Amino acid sequence: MPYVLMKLFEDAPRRFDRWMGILTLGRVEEIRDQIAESVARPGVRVLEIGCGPGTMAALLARRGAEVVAIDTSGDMLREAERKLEASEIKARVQLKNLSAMEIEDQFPEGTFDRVIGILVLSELTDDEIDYVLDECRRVLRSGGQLFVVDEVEPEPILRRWFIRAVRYPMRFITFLVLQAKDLKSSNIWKKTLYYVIEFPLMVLTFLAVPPATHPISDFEERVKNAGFRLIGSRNFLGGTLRLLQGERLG
Amino acid sequence: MSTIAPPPGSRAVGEDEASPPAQEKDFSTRTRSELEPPARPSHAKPRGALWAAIARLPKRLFQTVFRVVPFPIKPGLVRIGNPGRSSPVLVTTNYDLTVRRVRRALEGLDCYLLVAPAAGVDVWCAATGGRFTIDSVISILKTSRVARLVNHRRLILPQLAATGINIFELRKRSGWSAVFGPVRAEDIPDYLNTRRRTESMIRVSFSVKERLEMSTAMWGSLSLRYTLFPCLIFGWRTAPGFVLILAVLSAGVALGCFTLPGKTFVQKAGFLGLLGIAGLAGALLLPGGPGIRFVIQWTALIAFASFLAGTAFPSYSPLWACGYSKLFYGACDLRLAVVEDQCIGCRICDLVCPVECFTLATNRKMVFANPGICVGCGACLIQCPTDAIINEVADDHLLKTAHG
Repeated sequence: MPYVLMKLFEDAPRRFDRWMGILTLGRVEEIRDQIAESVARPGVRVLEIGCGPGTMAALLARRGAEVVAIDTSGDMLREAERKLEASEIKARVQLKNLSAMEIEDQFPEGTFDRVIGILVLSELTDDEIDYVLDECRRVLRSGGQLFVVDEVEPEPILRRWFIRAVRYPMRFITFLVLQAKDLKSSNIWKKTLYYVIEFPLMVLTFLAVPPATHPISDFEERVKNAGFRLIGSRNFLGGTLRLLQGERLG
Repeated sequence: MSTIAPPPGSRAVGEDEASPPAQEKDFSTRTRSELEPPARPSHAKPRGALWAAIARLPKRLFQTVFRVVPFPIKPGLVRIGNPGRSSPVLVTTNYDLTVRRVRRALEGLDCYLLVAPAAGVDVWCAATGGRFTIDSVISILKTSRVARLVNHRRLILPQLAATGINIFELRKRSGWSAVFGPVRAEDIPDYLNTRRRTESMIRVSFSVKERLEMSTAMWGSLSLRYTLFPCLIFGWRTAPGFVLILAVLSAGVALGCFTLPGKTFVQKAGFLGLLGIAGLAGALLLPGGPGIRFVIQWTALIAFASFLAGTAFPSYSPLWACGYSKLFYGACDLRLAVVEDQCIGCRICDLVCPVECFTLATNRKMVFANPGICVGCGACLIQCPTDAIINEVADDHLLKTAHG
């Protein structure tokens, strides 16, 4: 869903947080504050996966944490860099252009006290989610904690189907808008012609290809199976957004 | 995520070509967790096989006509035969048809096949369009945990992946070294035997069968996209005729791509169209023939269809640079040149070139000798370890897409 709005802004990384806030009705700020509250103490070592423009990382560093923040988007990291520039917390934040799939090669076992991932798992496939959760456990020290926030489907059946009914057309619109991403010409007539011609193929493609982001199924189970003890769980936005807090077993 | 962006190069046929054996086994129903050879012989009951063949017919038909639509399967590790710790590890994309053909070609070998996530698109298109990337390879290396199964760190990538995966960078990021295998899956057994890629293994071809296959795909996609326009102008009754004209022209251009008169494919298709129009005009002279209005209408439709078939055809061929995408995606022309001082004569550009653009000069430097046959895939630009190949057209849109 977020992608539609993302495209409406000219400079995505700079306004990323603003629309994230709008989209989650301010919940994402609340979640960040809550995580920062329970995580950040001077000297605590934190890994943030999918840091985006670095808001969470900055929040943690301001409270004295030593943060390693990774993201696959160079643009996002540049924005994070810009934000941290000339502030005294810069030394405590290490930005790396890495995907969640590359944690294994970068950090030895037990490197971190806390691992945080906000709205990042839903962009991965099921196999990738399990792999990444497994790696999160590995890089945490014994007793270290994981904080993951992601989209889930609400449990009550009516609400679940209501959300699906709203989400599906939004996904389709997002998909359509993104189809024009690679077009070079901004000529409105060319764009219109493109959509008229390509529409049937776009529909087939939309139906064929799995979505870019999807609600996570069996979120708790996956975290537990990766070797965590669940110590906290909180729902937001009518049960569509969930924060899980787990502690590494053993 | 955009998914149907036509790649700046060409629609691929190469990677997954194989003539169907008389008895075709369906591999798509096997799961990736299949660790042992099936207990029951795969040629079970003939009636079951017949039903299976009928049951998969709609899917096969869809995949033949709408070849341009992605068809993803679950990425994962496939064990071929009885692989051991030193067995080769091959990589392909999660396009249903590709995986099916690669598996068929590998029958009888012992190896691992990694089906990498690439949005369900074939190797060449996915690599060129930024779907089959180093990240895809890393993802499948990690989730399959193949490193625990073999005692080496060597991957065999399909050669057409060269437009999206820089093997030097892959080694840096993943610790796995990679070599390019043959273009066509059916050459893999020979390649694995000799570990040599012959000249015919590294160049794309366009056989009659491949041309028919791609013309069917082109017909499907053109009909789906453009039938609306004749319907709007002349009424929906013209639709079947228009689709038929597209079928004839698609097949005609594809079969006659080397022999029809004309320099461009619009001219070649136009030649075929003119034949049809001449026939119509001749019919006008016959007593009791069609009316003038009928002739004008179908003349317009044949002209339109010829234009479409002519502009679209290169996109469906492995030998000519895509023309259609220029209209919407801007020029994807490459005018390459080798900076002699930077060239170290490693020949990788020649070894990943699907046609044969490069030659080695006597001073051990590469020369971009055959610009006329360049398909604009950009593989050489992506692979060159010293950035010795430059694109003289300032517009580097192609490369931006290739890098995602």
